[in-house]
Amino acid sequence: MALATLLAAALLATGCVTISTVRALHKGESALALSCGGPVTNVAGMNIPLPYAVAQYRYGISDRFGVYGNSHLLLLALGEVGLDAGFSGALSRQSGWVPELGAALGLTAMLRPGGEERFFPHAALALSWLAGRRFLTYLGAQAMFQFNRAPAVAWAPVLGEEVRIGSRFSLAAEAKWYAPSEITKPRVIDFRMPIAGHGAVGFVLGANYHFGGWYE
Amino acid sequence: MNRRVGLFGLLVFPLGCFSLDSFLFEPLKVTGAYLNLADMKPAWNVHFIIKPDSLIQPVTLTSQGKNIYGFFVRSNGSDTAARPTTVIYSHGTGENINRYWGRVELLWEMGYQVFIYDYQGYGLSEGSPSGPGCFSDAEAALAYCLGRNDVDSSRVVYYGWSLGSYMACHLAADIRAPEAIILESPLASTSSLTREGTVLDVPGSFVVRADFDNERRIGRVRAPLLLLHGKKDETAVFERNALVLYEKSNRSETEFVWLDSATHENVPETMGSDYARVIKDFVFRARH
Repeated sequence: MALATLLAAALLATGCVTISTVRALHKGESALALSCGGPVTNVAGMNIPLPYAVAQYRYGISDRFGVYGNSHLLLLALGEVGLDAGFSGALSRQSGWVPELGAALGLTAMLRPGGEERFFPHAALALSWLAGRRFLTYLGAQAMFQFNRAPAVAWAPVLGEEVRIGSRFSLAAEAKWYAPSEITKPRVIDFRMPIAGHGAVGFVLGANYHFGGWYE
Repeated sequence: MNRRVGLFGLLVFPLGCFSLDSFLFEPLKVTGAYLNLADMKPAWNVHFIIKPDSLIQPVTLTSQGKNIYGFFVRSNGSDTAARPTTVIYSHGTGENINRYWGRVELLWEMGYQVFIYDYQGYGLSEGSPSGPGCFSDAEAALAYCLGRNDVDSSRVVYYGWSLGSYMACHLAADIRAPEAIILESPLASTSSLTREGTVLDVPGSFVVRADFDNERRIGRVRAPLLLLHGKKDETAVFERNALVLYEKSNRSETEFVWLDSATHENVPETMGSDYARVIKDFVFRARH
């Protein structure tokens, strides 16, 4: 059923925005990020990542601590409001080959005006290595938590690369393994890239703009 | 700073409200006439057994101002009641009436009268499919059947296969209690589908406008209910659909057949001759 494939576009699960944005900004700096992607499924006969789009704005409160807000563009297009807000920070800075450890913690709110609403705490953790002041490689995980009558965690390990182009702009590409603890089939949604029968591999592309330029 | 705010505002500005409802439906238009042998696929198991042709009456109805099409098939007389049971058949998401004609034949062979209709956007029916449209189409089908002299209003059975289960449940819970209701490979709700995709409890209404919610309606159905479902169903996974509906139904009036080897498409074929026996026995018990 085609319905299955694109109902999955509602895959709000984990990792709506590229995790590279966990890397802390300096005090007073701000950045904008746009990302799009999701688990690979069959859409109109093609196996492609679902186009779940998110916009993010970040602001550095201190040199190691900041706030962020995300807007889920696909949900907006569907007439819903999907917002994330939270804090991110550098738990430790990169020192040589010792990576930076970044973390984020926040709340995702999904609201249908005049209708239902859902709130999910979310978290992210990432190790990142910046090489040559241009290439940021990172490894981490993102998760959303549900604490109602049916507690659940939707999480995804992430491997990604961000390439800084010029003084303010960067592009990122990530591979994610969505819901690795979930058995992929039978499931109405036709996820095409499970690993060992679990979850769904997906890809997310991101673009970032740092208003103050790079500080490293 | 204003430039930054403006840029961010542009990114979060609602892009225009659309929904994924269109992905619920996979209609196929008919360019010529219904029931052409050339349009039938072998897998549909259509045998053109309904004879004479005069038993098959093409019907045009109006739903939401659109013409929709269906067929009323009169009984072969083997139902010995003075006026036989009439089955209103709400079909699945794919194709059109042609695809389900083999199912009509099965029910007709049991002695029932059968009314099958195409939703808006399917077959020759005008318009485009939608949740409210499908409900309106089902209501038009029911009103048509109840208006016929040869239909006993106390002997009307709603039959829904897959997507059609939403229409059958809607009629039974919201419009008029039938003599009995049969759901083959039913779907629990759009929320159930969304939960499968997100892992989290995300309401189906977030992505689909159609009020397709059998989970909510099934408990309000005041009629004997028969659930038929295959455990090899990968479209409507058994545990997350039929089992959920069974648990939320009025269990004292619910019967079920769970088939270990059946998929979404082949419940009658898997049951073989048991299909007719189970349905006839169920309808007989509902009547008495």
